[in-house]
Amino acid sequence: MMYSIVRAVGIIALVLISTVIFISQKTLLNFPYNQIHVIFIILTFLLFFAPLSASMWYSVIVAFILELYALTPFGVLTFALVASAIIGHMVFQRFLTNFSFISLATTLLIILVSNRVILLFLSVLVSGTFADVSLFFELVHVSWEFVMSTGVLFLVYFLVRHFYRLARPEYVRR
Amino acid sequence: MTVFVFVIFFVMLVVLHYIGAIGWVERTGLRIINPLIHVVYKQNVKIRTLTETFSSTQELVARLEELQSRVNQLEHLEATSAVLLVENEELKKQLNFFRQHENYRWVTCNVVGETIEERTSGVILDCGTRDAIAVGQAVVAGEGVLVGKVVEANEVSSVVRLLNDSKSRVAVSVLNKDRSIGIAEGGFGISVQVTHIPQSEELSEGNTVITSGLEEYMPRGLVVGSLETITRESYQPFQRGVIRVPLDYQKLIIVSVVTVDAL
Repeated sequence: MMYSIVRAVGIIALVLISTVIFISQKTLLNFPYNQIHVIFIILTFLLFFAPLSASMWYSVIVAFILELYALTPFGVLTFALVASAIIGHMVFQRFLTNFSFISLATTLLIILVSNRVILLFLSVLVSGTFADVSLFFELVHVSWEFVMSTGVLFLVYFLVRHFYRLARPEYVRR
Repeated sequence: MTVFVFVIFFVMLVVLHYIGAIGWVERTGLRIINPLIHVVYKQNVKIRTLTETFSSTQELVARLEELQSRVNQLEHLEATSAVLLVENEELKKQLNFFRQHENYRWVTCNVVGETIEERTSGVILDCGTRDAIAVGQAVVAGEGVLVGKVVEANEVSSVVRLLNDSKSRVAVSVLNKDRSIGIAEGGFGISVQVTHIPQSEELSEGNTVITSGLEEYMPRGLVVGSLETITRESYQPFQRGVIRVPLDYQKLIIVSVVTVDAL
C-alpha cells in the first residue's frame, strides 16, 4: 500500500516536472538545445527501471496534460505517446534485454521514431492530406531530438550508475 | 494485460473528453499546471531579455555600434532635458512673480553669453530695443530677484551689468525698523554690499534688502538679497553690510526685464 502511494506521488511529481520543462524549454533554450526531449528521456528510464504500469500511467497523464496545450485533436498525442511507450517496452523486453547504455539509447531512438511516425500518420488521417508533411524536415527534427536527448540520457545514465555504485556496501562493490 | 487495460483506458478517456464528462479534470489540471508554467515562462522571458544572442561577430559589432549611437543620442537628449527642466522651473518662478505683480510689464529673454572683459560681471541677452528694452531697466530672475540693470541695448540684444560688478550701483532699502535707504554696490564680481547707511540706523544680519524705487526704471520691492555681515567703523560716517544674494549669477539662463510700465 505504502509502496503504491509513494509510486503514485513519484509519478505525479515526474509528470509535473517534465510537462513544465517540456512546455517551457521551447521559449528558454535556443536550437539545438530545445530539441532535448525530457518526456522521452524519463519514459525511457521508466521502461528500464520501473514496471510497465508506471510507464503507462506516466505516458497517459503527461499526454493528457499536453493535449490541453496542443492544437491537434484530443487523443492524438495520448495515442502516439502510449503507443510508442508500448513499442519501446516490447523492443526492450524481446530484443535488447540488458541494461547497457546502448540498449537505453536504442529504446529512446525507437520511441522517438515511432512517436513521430504515429503522429504523422494520425495528422494525415485527421487532415486527409499530405500537403503539410515534409519528410525531410521530420527526419532532421527526429535526428536532432535523438542526438540531443541521447546526450542528456548519457549524462544521466552515468551519473545514476556512478552514485548507485557508491551507495552500495563495500563488499558488494568488490 | 497491462497494455490491454491502458488501451481501454485511453479509449474511455477520449470518449469522455468528447462528451464533456471530464471537463472538470481538465480544468483542474490546467489550474495546477498553468501557474507553474507561468512562473517558468516569466523567468524565461527575463533571461531571454538579458541574454540576447548573436550569430556572428559582425552582427555583434554592428549591434554594439548601434547601441553606442543610441547611447550618444540619449545622453544628448538627457542633457537637453535637464536644461529644459531648469529653464522651465525658472520660467515658472518668473511667471509666478509677475502674476503677483500685475502692474509690472516684462520681457523674458535668454541669456546668450557673458561680457568678455576681465574683472567685469555682465551678461548678454537676446532681446533688445525692438522688444521694448531700454538702458537702466531692471533685470530679474527667479521670483523677483534683481540681478542687474540693462546698460546697453541695441535692436536685437542688450547687455546687463550684474549687481556684483564693480561699477554696479542700485538704490536699495533695508527692511529693518528704520527702513534704511542705501546703495547696493558690486565688489569685483564676487560680492554685493550695501553702503551709505548712517551709523545711527540699526542693521542686523538677515535683514532683507530690496530695491527702493528711487531711481529711474527701477521699481520698488525687487529682492536683492539679505544681509550677511555688517561692518561698523566708528571713524566713518556710514556702515556697510555684505549682501547674500539668493541666486548664482553665473548660472543665469533666462531672465526677465521689467519695462517702464512697472513704475
